[in-house]
Amino acid sequence: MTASMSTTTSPSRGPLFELREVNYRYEEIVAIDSCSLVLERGTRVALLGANGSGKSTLLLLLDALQPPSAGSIRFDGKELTPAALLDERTNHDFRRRVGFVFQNPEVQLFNPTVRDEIAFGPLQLGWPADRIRDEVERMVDRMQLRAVVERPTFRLSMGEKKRVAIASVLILDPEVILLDEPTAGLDPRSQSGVIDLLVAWKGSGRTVVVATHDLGVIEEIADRCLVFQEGRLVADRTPAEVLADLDLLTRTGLVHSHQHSHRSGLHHAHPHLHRHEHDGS
Amino acid sequence: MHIPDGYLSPSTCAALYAAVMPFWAVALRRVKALLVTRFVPLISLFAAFSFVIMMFNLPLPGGTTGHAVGIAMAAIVLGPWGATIAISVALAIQALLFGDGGILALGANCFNMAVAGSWTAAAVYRLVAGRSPIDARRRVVAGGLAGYAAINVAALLTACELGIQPMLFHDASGAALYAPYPLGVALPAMMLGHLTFAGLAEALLTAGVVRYLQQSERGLLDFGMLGDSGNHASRPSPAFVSSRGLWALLGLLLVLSPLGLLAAGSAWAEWSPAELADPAARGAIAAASGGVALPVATPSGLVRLAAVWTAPLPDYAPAFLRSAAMGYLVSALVGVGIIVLSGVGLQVVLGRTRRGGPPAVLPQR
Amino acid sequence: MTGEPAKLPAAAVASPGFRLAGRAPIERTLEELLRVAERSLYAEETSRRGGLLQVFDARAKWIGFVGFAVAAGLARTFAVLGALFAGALVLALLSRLRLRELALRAWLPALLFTALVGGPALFLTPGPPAPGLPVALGISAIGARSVGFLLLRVETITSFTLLLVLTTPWARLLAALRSLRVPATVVVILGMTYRFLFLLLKSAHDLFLARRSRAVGTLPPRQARQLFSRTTGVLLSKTVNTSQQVYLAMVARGFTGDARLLDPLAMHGRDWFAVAASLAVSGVAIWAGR
Repeated sequence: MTASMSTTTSPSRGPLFELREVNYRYEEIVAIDSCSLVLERGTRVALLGANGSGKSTLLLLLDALQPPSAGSIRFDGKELTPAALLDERTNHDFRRRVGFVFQNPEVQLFNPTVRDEIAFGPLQLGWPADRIRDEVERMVDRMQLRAVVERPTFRLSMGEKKRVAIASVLILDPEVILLDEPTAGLDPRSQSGVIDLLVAWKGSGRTVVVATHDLGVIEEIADRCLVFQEGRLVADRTPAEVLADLDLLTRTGLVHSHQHSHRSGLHHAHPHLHRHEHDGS
Repeated sequence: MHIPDGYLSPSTCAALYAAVMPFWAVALRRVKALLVTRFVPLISLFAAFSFVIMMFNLPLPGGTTGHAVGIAMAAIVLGPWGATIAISVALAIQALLFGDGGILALGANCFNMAVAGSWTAAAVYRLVAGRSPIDARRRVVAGGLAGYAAINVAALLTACELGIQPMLFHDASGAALYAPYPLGVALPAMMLGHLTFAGLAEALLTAGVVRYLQQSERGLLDFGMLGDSGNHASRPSPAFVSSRGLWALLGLLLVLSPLGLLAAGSAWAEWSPAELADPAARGAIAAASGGVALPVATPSGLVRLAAVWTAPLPDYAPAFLRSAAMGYLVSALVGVGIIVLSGVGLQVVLGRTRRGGPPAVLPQR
Repeated sequence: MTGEPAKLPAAAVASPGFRLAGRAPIERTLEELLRVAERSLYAEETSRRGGLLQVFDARAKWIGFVGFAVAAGLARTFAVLGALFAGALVLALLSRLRLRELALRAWLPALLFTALVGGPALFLTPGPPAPGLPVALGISAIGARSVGFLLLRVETITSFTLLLVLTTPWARLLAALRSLRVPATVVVILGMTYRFLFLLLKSAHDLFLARRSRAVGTLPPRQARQLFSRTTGVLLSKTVNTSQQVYLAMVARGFTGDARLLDPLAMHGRDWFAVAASLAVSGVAIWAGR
């Protein structure tokens, strides 16, 4: 599935996201501290860090769900501000092009049935009813949700909820997908399913940004790792480099010094073992 | 205090639906204008919260238990307009899910609890808490009092609505068709239970929650979350009590108007032509008028006017519509309705509602 | 409670409507919370049975049943009320609803409650004594008629409400309201409230359960009250927190404040017939019972 570009965007081939000295604070806590970075189109980025390091907050900033306290964020060359999104067309355009999968699917499922949930995004963007119905059916089959399509969203298993959440975002065919801890709380089978999706997006032209602290998957799902610590960006490397830098991992709380993290230990000893886990899901 | 279906006549239900609709309409518009995008999830979650609270069996002093409704809590956190909607939604879901305080009686229940209750709670809380600091003890007391007042006002309205049923609606033999207790029984019976148990339950729970919020979620206590642009609410305007409280008072008076029927005899100067013709009544009237004698014939103007209420009604209108009591109630409704609609119309014309700002977001935890 | 479909403690399913007095408040609260979940599951299941009423469009059912309820509300004779109640019974049977289930869930609790509330009216209403009963009891004919009306009316209207709710999936029940001119925002709020109800029910349930499992014997009242206050407070925090996140999720998918809904409902010939038939019956009932 190719990422379709809206005709209202400027045909620039510049970076997709550009952050300059971005700060985010609430009450007395500084969640993001002077962050400057550039995200290119079509790349797959992993945001790494311990809980509270700011990676989730950064995702919210990227999706214009929180305005930064200071600094600027540019999307596709244009400044992303609450005022800019007041314009309906700009807002619709942005919301279609950037999708967000929340960590907790419960908050993302707020419609009566699965079908309603998947149809919500297109409805908000004003698609014609026929198109919505067709696209919903297609997405239901793609995500293997046919069995539960009429069910109330609160009567699904965790894995099903996650699939519905992803489906409801994918139906808009976004260029950018932001995912916050997509494998958290899922059983191994569901985790495999999610990771397969992320792997499949390699080379698709989609820009994928995943916040995670699961070191075991970053090599497969990302080409670039941004490591955060207490709101600051402390490293910008490839996954292989990050995994090899034990000192960095320890400093930033991604592994504990007195015990190898189960996964990273495994990875060092058996680099192929991890890949076997995802075959034959 | 949830009135089930069958206790109120369909006409009473209709009258109360009519009474509550303007409040729903205005609440919807006001809250939506203030909150734009945050409104829907906030009200929905709060309605769900209220529903869950209604399930709690709260232990009370003395070994009994009671149920709270969460009216005062909703009013404190969401403000009276938001609470009106949230409580109404909770009651609607309850009616559909359980048949508990049914669909026909929903208008009545919402009027009593969601409207009168919320406004009473908001007014009392504002009055008592005043401008005391967020973690003052006074706020806890204010919360308790607000809860107590809200429940009892709602109970009072409920008792009145139930109590006028036997008088207005009975079959030929005199048997009541709906709620069987006259005002003289319904009022004390309901108020006793609510002035003690239910009021206490609501008071204790509200006070307890205010205290909890003071310690853990201070932002929620800034009266009414519906502040501007998503910041925790600024202090409501001083005009609050004077205008909003009046609405509640109006609603209260409206439904209490039939209480006048309890008074035996007629008010001074409100005599009907029949009374003026009856010798016994004439004697009483003269005595009440300081001994002045009455004219021998009933003034013709009075005779003409007396037929105004019954004349337009065709002969096949149900008997109860012709009774004085119904005329009383309907006039009160029409009168208040006109006042309310004028007020709403005035507000709209003056364009008092503020537009919401950009999609406002509260900071993440 | 909500993750896997239909896994509830057997106890909750066995005693849907009755709560014995005298048990600890926490126990009773837990039961009531479960009762909600159970009721919703039951309604979902019954609305999927292949009975008569399940077939009809939700809008037709709304109009029909409100019509019947109003007719039952206006009835002034026992004959009409009785006929309407009998009609409800027949419709229930035709819709694969088991009378025993309905009795346990609705009719008996309503009967008990109404008898409790209305009972004193039997003795309080002045008038000639009721025929066939010992005079010493002090029950007047008028009193008996009054209570009789109340009982029968409550049962009848409750039945119609139940028929509506138990034969229609919740989502369609709400969607129908939109067609019937209820504002879209209200319908969306109703749907969202129902959906998040189960999230909060589960949280409340877990909070109480955790506390109960730690307690030895029942809590003294003062501590019990504190527990309720604290649980309520925690629940309130969670309510506001969840609403903030849901708000973000809605904005992220393009929501700007206007509620929009897909309309999956379509009225067929049989639905129009049902509306006409039910309104006709209601009309006759109102006329006959005036």
